[in-house]
Amino acid sequence: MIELVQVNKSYSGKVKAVDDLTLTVPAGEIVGFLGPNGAGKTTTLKMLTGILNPDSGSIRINGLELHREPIRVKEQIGFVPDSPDIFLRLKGIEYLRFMADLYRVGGAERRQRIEEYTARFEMAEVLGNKIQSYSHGMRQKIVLIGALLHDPAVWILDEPLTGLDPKSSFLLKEILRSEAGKGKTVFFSTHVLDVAERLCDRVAIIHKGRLLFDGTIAAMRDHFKADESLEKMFLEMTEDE
Amino acid sequence: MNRYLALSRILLKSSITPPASGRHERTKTALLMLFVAVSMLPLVAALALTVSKLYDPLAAIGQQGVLLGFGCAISGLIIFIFGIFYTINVYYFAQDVEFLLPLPLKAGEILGAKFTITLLFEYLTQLLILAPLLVTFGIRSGAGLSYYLLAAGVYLSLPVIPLVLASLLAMALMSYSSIASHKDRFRIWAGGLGLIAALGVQFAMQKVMAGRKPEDFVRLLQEGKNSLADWAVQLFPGVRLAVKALLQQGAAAGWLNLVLFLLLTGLFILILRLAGGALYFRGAVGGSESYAAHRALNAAEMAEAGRSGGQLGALILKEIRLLVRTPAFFMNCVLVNFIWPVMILFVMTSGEQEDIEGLRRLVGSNVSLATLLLAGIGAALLVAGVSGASASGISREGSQFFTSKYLPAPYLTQLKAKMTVAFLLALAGFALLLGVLAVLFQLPAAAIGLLLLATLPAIAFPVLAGMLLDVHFPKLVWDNEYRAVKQNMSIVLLMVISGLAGAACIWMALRYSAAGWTPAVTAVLLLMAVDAGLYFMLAKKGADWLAAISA
Ligand SMILES: Nc1ncnc2c1ncn2[C@@H]1O[C@H](COP(=O)(O)OP(=O)(O)OP(=O)(O)O)[C@@H](O)[C@H]1O
Ligand SMILES: [Mg+2]
Repeated sequence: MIELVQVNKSYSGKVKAVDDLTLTVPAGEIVGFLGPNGAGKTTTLKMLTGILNPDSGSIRINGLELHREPIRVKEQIGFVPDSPDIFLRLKGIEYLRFMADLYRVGGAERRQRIEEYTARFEMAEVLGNKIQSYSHGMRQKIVLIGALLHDPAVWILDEPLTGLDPKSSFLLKEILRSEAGKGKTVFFSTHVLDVAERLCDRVAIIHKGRLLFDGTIAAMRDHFKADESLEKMFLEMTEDE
Repeated sequence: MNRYLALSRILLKSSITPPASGRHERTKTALLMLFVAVSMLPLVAALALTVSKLYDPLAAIGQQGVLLGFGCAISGLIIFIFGIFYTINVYYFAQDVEFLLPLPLKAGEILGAKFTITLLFEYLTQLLILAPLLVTFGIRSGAGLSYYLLAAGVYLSLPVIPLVLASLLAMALMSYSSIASHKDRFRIWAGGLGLIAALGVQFAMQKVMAGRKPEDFVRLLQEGKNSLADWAVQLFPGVRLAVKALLQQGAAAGWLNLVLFLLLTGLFILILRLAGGALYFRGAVGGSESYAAHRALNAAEMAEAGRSGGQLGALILKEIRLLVRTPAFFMNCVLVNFIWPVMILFVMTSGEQEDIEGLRRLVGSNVSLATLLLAGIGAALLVAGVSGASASGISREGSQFFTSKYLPAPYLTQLKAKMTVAFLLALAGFALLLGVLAVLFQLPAAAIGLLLLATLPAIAFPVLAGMLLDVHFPKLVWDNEYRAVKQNMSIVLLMVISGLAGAACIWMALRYSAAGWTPAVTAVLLLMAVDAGLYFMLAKKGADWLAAISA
């Protein structure tokens, strides 16, 4: 479970990127995080993972206060950042070993997960190559696999679907669904609204740092009193102001 | 022409340290810059003083021009040697190259803009050597306005020719890199090659100098009329004209020489334009390609991947891999640790045999172990202080710094991994240096062992201090790996601090060679205390400082 209570963040004291955000992402559900460019999605996810400190407010992951017990919180999170261009000079396999060591994945699980996920994402062929030689989608996949290795209780993904080919994105959606089914928490940002519509149990919509909506898509339809697509409702909601 | 100017402006803007967020950060950076500038003053002052001291005796025999000759030649040489590395990095490794290539720009325009930026930075470098020389000379010779105008002209045009030569060399090297499949490896190799070339130049110069008989110097000296300057300036094309311009200040001949020098400079720029049009794209296109024959893992490698290790070990391994595989990091953080033994070997093998014998006897008989120890500590401070491995530890992360914030390793563990790697590199370099010296001077093994042990705190000091500096002044925004390790004030500052401490130790060793063990033991204890203090600070506050750096 992810809990954000009255979280604020502004950059260099001027741009208010996240404005008094209170949001709960329950375990066992997939929650989509939607909003136009610059709405504050990445900023929020960065605060959840410890990359940015909020100016005020509190963040709890599975009941643990992030700023009190940062390491225990981070160990529970599987994070996929928006840019997969990291550790480019490591080979794929070296990166995976690095991640497994840092998240203390040992024993039989380690090798078994590396083999399973690299096979499923069709990355086994290139594990011996440097990440620098990977395509954008391949880089995303290696980062994704690295985040999967420790079987995280909480998933935080920043636009994980952009750049993936149809097969990989189908696979990722499968995994997300089955993980949520096992009681994990899944929170991801996306611009692909029909994916959100079909995949997510709930959506949170943010605009200019403020939360506009938080609930199921059915609830949103009730709110608009019409059987419209998520895309239409989204555009309408973020239109004014 | 307009596109060239526009491009130069953009490149300049993005290469000047980007504005740090927050006002607090900016004042911190400004203060640091000021401190670096102030810490350079002793060097500048020492140079000016030396020039001033030498002026009278030389002027008495009509040879004061040799000061300008040597000064200009050395300044040009420094620009040439560093220019090789600098131009390779700016022309080819900078990440902006990928963005510039698709734009409708001619090779000459990109090259021209990049050359201009490099040149501007060279003007800054010259502030250290050429500026104090020209000014001191002007004051001592009581020169008038026309001297200073000529000097300004020389100051602006002098670095052009060495830089053009360095650019041509860089382009020739890099145009071959486009056919090399392992680019990073080639570049690391090219860096080593550049270094060897630079050492080779030094070597050749020594040979040239050695070839001159002492009688030649005497004859030149007796001739007067600055004939010695004539000889010094042969080291670099065109320098002769520049020096002549400065020496004939009052007369029209001075201006004529400057005009000739400017024409020659123009000719070199023209050559660069022509060569650049033909060569630049050949090396630049495909610069980010990486060797990519698909390679799956075999069973043994897979089994290896299944073995788990600790966090610290994983971080250390990652640090070493990135250092060794990134050409700019390799050159400035790994290779620098090992150039000293090579340099010593060069100097010792190229010097006169009798001199070396003399030195050997001196070290063997007269010097006490205590003195040797103190000198060794000084050398360790100098050697370890030059390595940027620790002082760029955070800076090297650059745009991927955010990963260290979300990975579940305590910040202190991450700092420890960086310091361990830097310490091991410095230690390995210094041990190799000691090994070379031991063989050259036939030092007993016990002395070497004691020396290595006693210098451990001296090697640890720059590592700890460098980390402390970089945690406070990380340079995370760079478009070019080279900038993280070269235009990094933490590194410069560390060099100054560690260099001063090292020089002090060596000076003490020479000055108080009869004082017994007290100075050496004091130095060891003092360094141990300082190290302990630094470590305590890092252990206590390091994590908080790292946490405070915004990703
Ligand atoms: N490093 C930064 N410095 C200053 N302002 C920033 C920084 N990063 C983001 N911002 C500002 O914060 C606001 C929110 O940005 P954020 O990256 O969170 O948006 P986003 O919802 O992820 O957008 P996108 O859909 O484009 O990824 C924007 O106004 C942006 O300009
Ligand atoms: Mg974003």
